[in-house]
Amino acid sequence: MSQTPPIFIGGAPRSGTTLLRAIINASSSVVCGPEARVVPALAALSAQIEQMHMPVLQAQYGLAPDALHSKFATAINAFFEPMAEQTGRRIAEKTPANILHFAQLRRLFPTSPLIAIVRDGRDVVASLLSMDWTDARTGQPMDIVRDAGAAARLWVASVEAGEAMRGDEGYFELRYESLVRHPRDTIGGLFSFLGEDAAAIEAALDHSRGFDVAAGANESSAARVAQPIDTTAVGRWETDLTQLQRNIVMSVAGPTLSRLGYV
Amino acid sequence: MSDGDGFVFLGGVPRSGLTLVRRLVMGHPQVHCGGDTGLPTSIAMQWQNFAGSLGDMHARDFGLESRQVRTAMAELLTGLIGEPLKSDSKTVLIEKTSLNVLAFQPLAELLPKARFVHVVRDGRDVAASLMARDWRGPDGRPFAHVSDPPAALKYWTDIAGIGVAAEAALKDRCLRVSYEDLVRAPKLTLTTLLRFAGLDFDTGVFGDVVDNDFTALERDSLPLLLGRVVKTRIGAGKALAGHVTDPVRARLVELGYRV
Repeated sequence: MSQTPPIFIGGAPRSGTTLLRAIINASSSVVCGPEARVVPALAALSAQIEQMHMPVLQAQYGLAPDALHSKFATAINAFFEPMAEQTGRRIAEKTPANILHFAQLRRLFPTSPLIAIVRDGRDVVASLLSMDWTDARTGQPMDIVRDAGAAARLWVASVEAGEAMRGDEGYFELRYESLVRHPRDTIGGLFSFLGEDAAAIEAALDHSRGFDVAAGANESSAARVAQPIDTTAVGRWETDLTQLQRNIVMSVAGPTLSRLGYV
Repeated sequence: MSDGDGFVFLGGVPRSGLTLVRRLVMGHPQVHCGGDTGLPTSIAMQWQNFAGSLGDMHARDFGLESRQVRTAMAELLTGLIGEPLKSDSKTVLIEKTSLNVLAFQPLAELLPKARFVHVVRDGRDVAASLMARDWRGPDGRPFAHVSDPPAALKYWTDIAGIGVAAEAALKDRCLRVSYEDLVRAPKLTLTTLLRFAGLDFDTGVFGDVVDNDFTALERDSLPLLLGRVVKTRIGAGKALAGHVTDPVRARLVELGYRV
């Protein structure tokens, strides 16, 4: 089993999480595969059990809350064991929805780095509305790719989940816009937080060389992330969103955008 | 523990007598049977989701074999509820969340050595007992199956049917125990159940229990649980005979009840 606690990466979908995973994966000491999609589910299940069943588990099954956390952490680690053994590198896991479970992940993994990426909510909504994602259960388009309000609400929830972690010394937050405008400085700050060296920063700046597009087949941005970093997606909302959609986004996310300095 | 050896899961339509089974077997010195945890179904269904929709992706991108996913989720479930089996005296853990019955089959795949007990009771009596509950949904309104007799009978018919299907699929890994047998012939019925779990009968099953042994919805039945086993609840649903439809009748007959 990997002894080093994993790194968790999250953010609203279409905020640059795949770019971030490619950058972190470029380090020779960390491996960050595509979205495993198990972490949010298990974190949510652990929280649900803790809220609903802890008294019975504690009184009648001898299970303390710390033991519950530890057993869920062991289960999550088990999903990444083959990759850790194969590569000999520390595991980083990127699934955008991880951010909604950072508080619970902190209980399960007391020393894991939690990394959030934040992007202008208007660009996030514009990008989401260009996706063709469907709900696996219904086969219908997901609300967040057809409804600007639903997309904006998810962005706000993701940002707020990250903000709630700001007092945690293992939490690191970066902006997508900084990452693409000033990659060396931004990656330098992140890698300093992770304890990565200068060689890792150089490798990350050249992340596209080693990025495996095929391994990210379920990631909408895999092809784009395989290219060098550029700033073309910053401000896309100005051309992509209709006035009505802008109004909807502002009505839902205006205060959050303002608080973050985007408006 | 990842194969489920020593684990027995009870399941059945709520109000079929599962807590009575617990009240009795918890007195056996080698058995630990606590209150409902709700965990087995949640974890089994989450495992099915991982193994089904994500299995190919996990194999391709993470080198993760299906047996490794099964082991991880099995160890999670048995680790969360299995602490009592670390005691020297307890060799069998019985988990009695009623809706386990919905996941008997995936649980049997997740834990290849676990065993299952389908607790059944006359659907008319179950429906009558359900109608006496004040169970409400998040909107504050009573659930249909506790407020409408036909809905209560349909609820019983559907869930009991899932249990019957699981019995057929799991064969000798699943035992049916009827509430009526339990209250009419408790020693014989418990001997059969305990033997199924690999244990001998022990008179401890008829020992006293205390109020604090029961939690949450189990406490709905507290007066019956604290006293001696009685047969007086058999036939409590006679008044619902007029609501028995063909599917309900067929299920009653299938389970050996007179209609």
